[in-house]
Amino acid sequence: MGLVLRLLLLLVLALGSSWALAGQACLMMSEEGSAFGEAAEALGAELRSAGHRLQTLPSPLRSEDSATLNSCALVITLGARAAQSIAALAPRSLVLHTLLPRSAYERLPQRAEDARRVSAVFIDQPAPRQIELLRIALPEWSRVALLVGRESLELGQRLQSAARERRLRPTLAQLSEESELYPTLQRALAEPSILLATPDSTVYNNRTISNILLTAYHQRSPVVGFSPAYVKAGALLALYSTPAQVGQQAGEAARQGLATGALPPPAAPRHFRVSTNPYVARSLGIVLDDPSVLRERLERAEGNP
Amino acid sequence: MPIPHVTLHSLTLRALITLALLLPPALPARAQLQEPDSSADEAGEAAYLADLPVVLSATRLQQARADTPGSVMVIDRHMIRASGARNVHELFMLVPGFQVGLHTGNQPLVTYHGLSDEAPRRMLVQVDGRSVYSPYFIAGVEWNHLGVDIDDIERIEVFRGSNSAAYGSNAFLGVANIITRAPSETRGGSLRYRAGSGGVNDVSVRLGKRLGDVDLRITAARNHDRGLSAINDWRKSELATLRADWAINHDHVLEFQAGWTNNDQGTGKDGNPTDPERTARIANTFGLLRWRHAPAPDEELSVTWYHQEENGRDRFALSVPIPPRQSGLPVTIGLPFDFDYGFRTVRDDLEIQRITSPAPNLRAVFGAGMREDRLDAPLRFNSDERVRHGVNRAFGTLEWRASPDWLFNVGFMAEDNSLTGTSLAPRASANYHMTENQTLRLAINRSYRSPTAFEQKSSMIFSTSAPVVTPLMTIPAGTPISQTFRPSPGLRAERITTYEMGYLAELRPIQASIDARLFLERARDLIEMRLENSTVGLIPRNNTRYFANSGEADIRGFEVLATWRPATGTWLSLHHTELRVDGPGDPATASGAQPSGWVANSAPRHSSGLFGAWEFHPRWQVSVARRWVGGMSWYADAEHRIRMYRQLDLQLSHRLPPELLRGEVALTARNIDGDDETFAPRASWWGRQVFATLQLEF
Repeated sequence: MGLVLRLLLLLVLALGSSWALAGQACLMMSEEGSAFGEAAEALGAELRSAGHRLQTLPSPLRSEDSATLNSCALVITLGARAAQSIAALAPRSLVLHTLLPRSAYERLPQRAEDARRVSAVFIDQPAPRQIELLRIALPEWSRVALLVGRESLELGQRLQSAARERRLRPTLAQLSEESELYPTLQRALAEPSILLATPDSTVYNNRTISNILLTAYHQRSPVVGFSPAYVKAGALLALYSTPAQVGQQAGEAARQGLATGALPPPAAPRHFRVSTNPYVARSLGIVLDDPSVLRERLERAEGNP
Repeated sequence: MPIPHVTLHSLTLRALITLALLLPPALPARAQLQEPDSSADEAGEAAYLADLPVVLSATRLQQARADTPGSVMVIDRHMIRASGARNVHELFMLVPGFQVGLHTGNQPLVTYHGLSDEAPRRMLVQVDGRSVYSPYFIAGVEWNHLGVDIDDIERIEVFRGSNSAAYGSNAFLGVANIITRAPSETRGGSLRYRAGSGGVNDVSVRLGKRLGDVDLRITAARNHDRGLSAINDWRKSELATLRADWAINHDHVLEFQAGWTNNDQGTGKDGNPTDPERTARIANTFGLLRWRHAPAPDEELSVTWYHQEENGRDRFALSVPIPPRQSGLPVTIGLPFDFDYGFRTVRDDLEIQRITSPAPNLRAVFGAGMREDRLDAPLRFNSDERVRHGVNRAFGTLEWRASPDWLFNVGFMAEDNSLTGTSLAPRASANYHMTENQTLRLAINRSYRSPTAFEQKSSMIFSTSAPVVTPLMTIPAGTPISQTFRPSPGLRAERITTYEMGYLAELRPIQASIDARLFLERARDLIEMRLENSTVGLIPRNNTRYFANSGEADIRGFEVLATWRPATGTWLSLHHTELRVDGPGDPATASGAQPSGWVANSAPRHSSGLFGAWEFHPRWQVSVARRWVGGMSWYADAEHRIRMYRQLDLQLSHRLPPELLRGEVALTARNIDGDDETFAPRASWWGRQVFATLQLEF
């Protein structure tokens, strides 16, 4: 009797735990780092508020973890590297990639049937939003220079057409190697223009940033970046979403996925921030609104409350 | 029957193999392209999350003109190029209130608001924070030894007016800060060749490279010209500079500069018994090390140390004829002299500076520094002992943005000078932004100029170099014959109090600006060269020179500069200056060498300038500079007054089509509207000069 009871209890526990696993979200991070931690915390808080548990998977995945992976109802990845390793495993569960740029998401191997199961919350801002910010923050400036490499050509073209739609005058210059950077910049900024930075490590990196910011500054051209580091380094302003903002939105998408069994379509971050460098603004003789005012005006322009 | 089949099969196979042999180079490449990016960081989120170094740190940023405590004119790289200037001093002709003359072709004279003689020494020039104010003799800024090639300059910020509060004594009438280009901006190679009339033959080469985290630039140049016509003032100047910026990490940068300049130049006058035509040489070396910690855009700590050494060689032996009138002897005798004007000076300067923003509307700069000059110049100081001159300093400036309309600036510099004791130079200004485009500024400041070691300690006694037998006696070698300068102990620092009102309009929609300055500058204790009788030496003199704090001047007037710049390569700027310099009515002493009213002649009453450039076709630019300079005297009296003159420069430049070559060709004609006397009547003529420049980048 005791034995039967014990076996029954074990069975119930086992079933219970697999039921619990059925509603469980698993998280895989590309690396440990403050930004990833910040995103994971926001994501976890959002899921916990709905009663879900979040289990962290090691990266890279060990063979003994494949069972855990198979038991996840939803796999969330943070960063492009984690997204690539999960996409390569193609789990049967729902998959939400986040904290990765749209271009990295588009490069993931995808199957037709994934469309309903796999989704993403990107880290990068949509092109129309970036262009709208230029119009709001720098209404007197119409020239926009875009400097792209092979990687960012497509993004550059999207920004270029978004700028044209907004009646700005964009110029797109493509670089094939770093040595062309300075002469290309000189040409692109021959007349003061907004230099809108695009994330492309062949153009914008630690080695080139000082050249880019100094040249632009000496050509009286403000630089608009895509992370707060740009503003600290000497860009006039930057538009970005914090890892926490991206993490929270991913948490909301994950909740919906767990509740309904379907994820919302891939989306850009809904919430964002604007940073400005008042010293650079003053030095360039540019009058800028407060960053919070710029953000509110941009939100209103997008029809957000 | 199976045979043909096999044959066909093997043919197909062979064809396939041949195809396969042809294809391999292409196939793997294609395969690679289709693979997902191997490195996630390359295309991933890293760019959005990574930290970056602070590039535009507080000292790199130009203070907004509307916020400066005085009038600042910026001469940028495009203006330097369009001006056709071969030498930095020529650029000051573009700045209102400045006087630029040529004593000789290799001895430029630059001053602001007069108060100068043939050795202007009341303004300060710094190259990347390194003072090039001469620690020796009385010559002020050493224009031939700035240690910077004109093409390596990013911009020159000219602060019009005294500013000891920020730059210490010597920033008496004005300050020019030369800022060189960051080596990260000058990667690649550049070659420049220039040739033209008057022996102009200049060549320079520049190489820029990045090695790991270090950005490097090496520049070497050699400039030559024959100077002005009819006098021995040719010049060959050579220069080699190195700048290396090492980005240790995101917050720390170590900057290293080193340089060498050598100037061989013609000096002396044909037929002058004690100043014959000859060649003199001055060589200069320097090294600068700066560590900069910039964790945020408005937070910076820097420590700068620089060392410079200068060696001058100018030695000649002569027999100087002494007529009976001077010697009292029945016949003219020849006295042998060994004139050795050689010298060696060493300067060390260490400074620590912190820039911080204690509150959103407050910005502070403060720091301390020490400098020591060591001079060996036996003939000038009549001593083999080394002359030492030290200055310790502490400074601070606070900028308070009280409201969007009001900005206040207060600052001070306290100095402890081994020659003149302590001084405190304060400054205060209020900038009222009347509208978004217009600023009114009120400023008051007190500045100092410390005497140079030469002014206080010079003692020039000429002695015979060999025994001389005369009808009456034998003069042994080493006998003092004559004293031309005697020490001036007790010399105090000169002081100046400046009151100014400034107006700045920056009309961005029409890309124009107006900068006006109305000023009263009251200079007191001005050090003047005076004459007295001397009994030192066998031949008594009635014109031995010494220095005294006997001068004073009230300078009043206004300057206005209007600029319209619709494009980087197209602009038109006009400036006009009205100046009145008043000195005391009577000579301070009966034996005054500088007669009453010398200060009144030291600057022109009216001067104007026009500087324009027009990019009339893509890559083609024509530029013009015109100057009208009123009558003035560099030589402290009305007798040496030069008359009003005009100068006109023209330049046509063409940027080569990049598909052919990267670079520029230019044809420059300077001072083409006739020769001018810019120093003293019948002394020298500043003539025209035409040259062509080819600059190639690779």
